[in-house]
Amino acid sequence: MLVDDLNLIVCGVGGQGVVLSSDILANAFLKSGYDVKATDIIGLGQRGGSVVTHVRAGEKVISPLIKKGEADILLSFEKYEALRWSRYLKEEGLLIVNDKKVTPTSVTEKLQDDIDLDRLLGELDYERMIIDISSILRDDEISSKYTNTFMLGMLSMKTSIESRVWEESIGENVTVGFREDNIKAFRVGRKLFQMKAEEN
Amino acid sequence: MKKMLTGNQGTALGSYESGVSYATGYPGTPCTEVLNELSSFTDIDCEWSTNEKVALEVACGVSISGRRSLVLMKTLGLNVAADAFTQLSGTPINGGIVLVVADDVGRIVGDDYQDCRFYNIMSQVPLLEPSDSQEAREFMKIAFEISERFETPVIFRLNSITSKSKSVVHINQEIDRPGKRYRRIHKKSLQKTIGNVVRFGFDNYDSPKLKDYWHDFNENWNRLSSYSKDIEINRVELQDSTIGVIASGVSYLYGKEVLPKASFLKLGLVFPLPQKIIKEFIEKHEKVYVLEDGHPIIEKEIRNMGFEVEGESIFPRFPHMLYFTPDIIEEKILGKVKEREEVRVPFRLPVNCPGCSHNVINDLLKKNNIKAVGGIGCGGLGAFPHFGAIDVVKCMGSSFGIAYGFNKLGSDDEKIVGIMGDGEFWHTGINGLLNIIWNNGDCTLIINDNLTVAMTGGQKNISSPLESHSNKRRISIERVCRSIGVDRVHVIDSYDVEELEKVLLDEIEKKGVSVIISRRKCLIFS
Repeated sequence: MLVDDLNLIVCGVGGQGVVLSSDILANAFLKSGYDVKATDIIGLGQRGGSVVTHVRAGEKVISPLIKKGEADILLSFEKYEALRWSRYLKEEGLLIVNDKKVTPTSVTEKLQDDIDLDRLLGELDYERMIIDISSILRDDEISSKYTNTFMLGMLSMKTSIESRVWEESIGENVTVGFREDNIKAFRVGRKLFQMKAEEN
Repeated sequence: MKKMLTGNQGTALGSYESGVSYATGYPGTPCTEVLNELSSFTDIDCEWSTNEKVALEVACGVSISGRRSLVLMKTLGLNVAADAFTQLSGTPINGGIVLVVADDVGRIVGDDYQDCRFYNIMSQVPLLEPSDSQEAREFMKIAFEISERFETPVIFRLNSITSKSKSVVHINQEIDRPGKRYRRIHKKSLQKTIGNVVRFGFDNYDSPKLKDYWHDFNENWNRLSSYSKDIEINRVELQDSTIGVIASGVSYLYGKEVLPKASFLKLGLVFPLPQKIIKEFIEKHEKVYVLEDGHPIIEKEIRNMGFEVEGESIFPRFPHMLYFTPDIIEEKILGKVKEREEVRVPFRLPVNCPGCSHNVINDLLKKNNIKAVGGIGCGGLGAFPHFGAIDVVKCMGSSFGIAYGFNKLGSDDEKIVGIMGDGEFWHTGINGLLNIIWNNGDCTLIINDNLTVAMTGGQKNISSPLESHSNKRRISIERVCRSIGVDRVHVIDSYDVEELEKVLLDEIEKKGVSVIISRRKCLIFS
């Protein structure tokens, strides 16, 4: 039942739940019989730093890090980070991005010039889904803090792992009081992906 | 059962399963998690010690009493513990001691370039390096066996990737805990001084009365070297004879991924190097590469054996690169260059959280144009160019000593203020303050007390509020300052900006030593 090796990059800024997402992902793949490696790379500082995780699943995973140009999917909770790590995607890879900007501190503190983010993102030649997740969650009366599990829901549609296994993995990785809302957000994410896929 | 564990968790599990009695250490990214993890087991005692040197000394005492101990620190912490470490390495020990040391190779999570393996070479201490979490768990057991069999401390080297990377570990339903190990075989561990006096070529060298005390350090190292050629964690994987790769740690996995057809010599026990295996391996291959995170240390040792290997020649180190990635190996060995241009994205500098008490001090310094020397931790972020509030930052606890030195011979109208956090003060900073008092210096000092060690995730320190059921004893910063003779001690709420500013400006004008404790709990961790 195992598909070919799957390489995923999950990224965002500190506090957006990148590490939790990598735990949920890794656990879901493990439960489905894959070998998995998931490596979180977290910069200095407690809040607001760039965070990226390499998640690899397959029959047998050797390196914990993905080579540039070999990721199947890049899941980004933030647009600057999507662009920063975009070179990890393979040509036919899929870019899933939350339509949210967190301006880097080097720009707000005037140490570096800003870039034309939307234009540069637009110029990337990948299949992409850039979605304003907080507004979708708002429509469903779900807090935007569940953006990460929503996006995992979208990503889950590109894997052969059953929805039940995903939800189990979410349940095991979040505290009891937040389970229901996380799973709700996850389901909305799956539905949205389905809808978008049908539109195309 | 299979479980996803980080390298840190694998390390903790392996040491638990090795029957460790006591775990000590000082928090340091990326390996802090090891001790957090160990403290979740009920039948093992853990402590964050006041600093790394003390942590190692505690472990040394535990060893002399015949129990196994683990000591945790990042590489910069080993600098702090270096005196204790080099002394420890010359004496036979009783209970096993394993130092878990994490190098931040590539400065992925921090800001340093150091390689703990220099300490191994200097002190002739064995070093093991796992590649993933399963190995971390297994190697830990071997590390303790080596430590006791050869009566030496062992360094267990992690790095930013092996520490944090989660990989699959096979776990028995019941965790294998052999009980706390006890081993006490000789008195030599108590007799370092005599051991050394006898060793260094005096006439009494052969005296039968003293011979018993002499620890034959060299003989021990030779026994270890011969053991290293048989140990199963040094593994030869012969394939194609054109390319051979000698690798350790996570670099081995990168190499395997990029060069699936090459032969590999994987070093699990990195020091002492298995010279015979290395020689045979090199002779069998046309070209041999060395992949090692950090400085080219294994490579140089192999060159010293008289062999030509490729390493630094194609992987230039300082100041460019001290770590490997699969991409770097692919580019340098296979000549594959990625065609697509890199996208330049502005970087994210670390900042203090909104509302952080450190920001208050930083703003005051800038506003009043006060020169300041700071330290490590969240307070040190004030030195980054986007704040530019702090002029000098060196190492943990160094700012009081530096401020004192600067003010000693400087002019009165160009004084520098010393700043440190509560964590730093207890770690090593208190020594700087004692020195100022003893030498009758003039200094205005600020202790930014957020009641926790924040940068590494909110560990408690000596003056942090005690947790319920804690059996520790809390010590007050202000009482210590007053009792050692600080002329004026002020305790001010960090949010009382007016008062802070008034006192600070007032104190800078005065002679003597003043300590301003600016206190406000960390918004995240306390």
